[in-house]
Amino acid sequence: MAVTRFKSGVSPVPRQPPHSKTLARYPPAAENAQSLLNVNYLSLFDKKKLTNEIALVILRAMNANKNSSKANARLKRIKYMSRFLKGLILACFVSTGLLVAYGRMMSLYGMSVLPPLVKTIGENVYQILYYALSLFAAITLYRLLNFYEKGMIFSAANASQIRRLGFLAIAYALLKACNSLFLPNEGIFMVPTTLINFLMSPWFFAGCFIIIITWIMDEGRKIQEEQALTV
Amino acid sequence: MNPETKPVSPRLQRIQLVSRIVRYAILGCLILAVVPFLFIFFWWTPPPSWSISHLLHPLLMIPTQAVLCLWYWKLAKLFHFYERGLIFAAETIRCIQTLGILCVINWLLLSAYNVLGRIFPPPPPPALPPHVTVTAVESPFRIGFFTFSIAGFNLGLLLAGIIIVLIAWIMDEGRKIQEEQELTV
Repeated sequence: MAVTRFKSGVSPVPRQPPHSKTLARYPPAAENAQSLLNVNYLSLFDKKKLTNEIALVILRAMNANKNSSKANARLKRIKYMSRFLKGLILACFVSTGLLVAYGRMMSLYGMSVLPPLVKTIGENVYQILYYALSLFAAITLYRLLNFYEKGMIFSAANASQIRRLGFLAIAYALLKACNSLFLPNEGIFMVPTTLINFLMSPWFFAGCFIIIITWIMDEGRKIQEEQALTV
Repeated sequence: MNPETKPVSPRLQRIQLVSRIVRYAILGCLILAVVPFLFIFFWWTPPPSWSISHLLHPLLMIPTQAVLCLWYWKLAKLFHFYERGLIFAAETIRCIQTLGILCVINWLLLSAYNVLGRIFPPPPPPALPPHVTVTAVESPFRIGFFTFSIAGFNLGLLLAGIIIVLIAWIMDEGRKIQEEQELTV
């Protein structure tokens, strides 16, 4: 790419290319390109510099680190989609927060359709845990999408975020199963019933599946890394 | 043992073992999900008085249950791919995408069930004694752990389905970039 930029201009190097016979059938622009390549690229013994110090030292070096245009387009699409999803999560969370705040404000004036404010300590604790879990899950999903936006798709950091989502789902199942501990209307708290409710909860299943799939993907990534390092 | 065959890495062996166990568990769940179908086909008796509201529940239960069975089947297939060592393959990612799409379809069916339930309300329960009064205040908005319910429509499943499809798409794009980079000299 860098070589073709000088195609139309006059070559700054007056030296004759070594393969002048083979280049005789090509137009002069190709000759110039060949001479540029010989002088600026092939003459350097440290080729590593060419890829790492593009802007500072070597002006017409090839950029081997650069992605292809196709890969760049894909990365751009991933970035846009991640940004869109992040916006969606933020919008959902902020709008529901505003709705709850609005409902509570209205209930203070006695005009609300929402149920009355919680009274007992148990109900307060339950609600705080409930909202804390929701907030933590939203933050985890947001961070996961942040990694995707940065182009880190199959990394260890991603796997840990997805695993955290799985654990949060299990914690939510546990909280829902233990609601009779906090809420007096839900009946008497009994360990066997709570345990059955917890194990039969769809959130428990979903959390377990998320953790297992993440573990498999993480192992697959490690195998790929090991294979890439093996000569 | 053939000395020329490549030894399977212990990591892959562990993946295969766990995937097999999970796959059998899912197939067990699939069998349990099929039972209501059998119940409908063999033991369901039509009510003496025919009306749309009486037929609505069993008729809408069939597609919902079918989607659930398909979901279990696809999940078992996903773990079968993992068992074969296809972790970041196109088929595996397509399977995850299908699971997300099935979540969205299930949400659509449940919403249709909800709407039809409002148009054709279920038959009223037996009348209560006159001295009993029931007061129930239902909120139009309900929020929770990724559950957004507006006017009785729970958008949580829809949101989960969309997020699964989009994350699978991102993984697919990442896989394609990796493949392209591997092919680039």
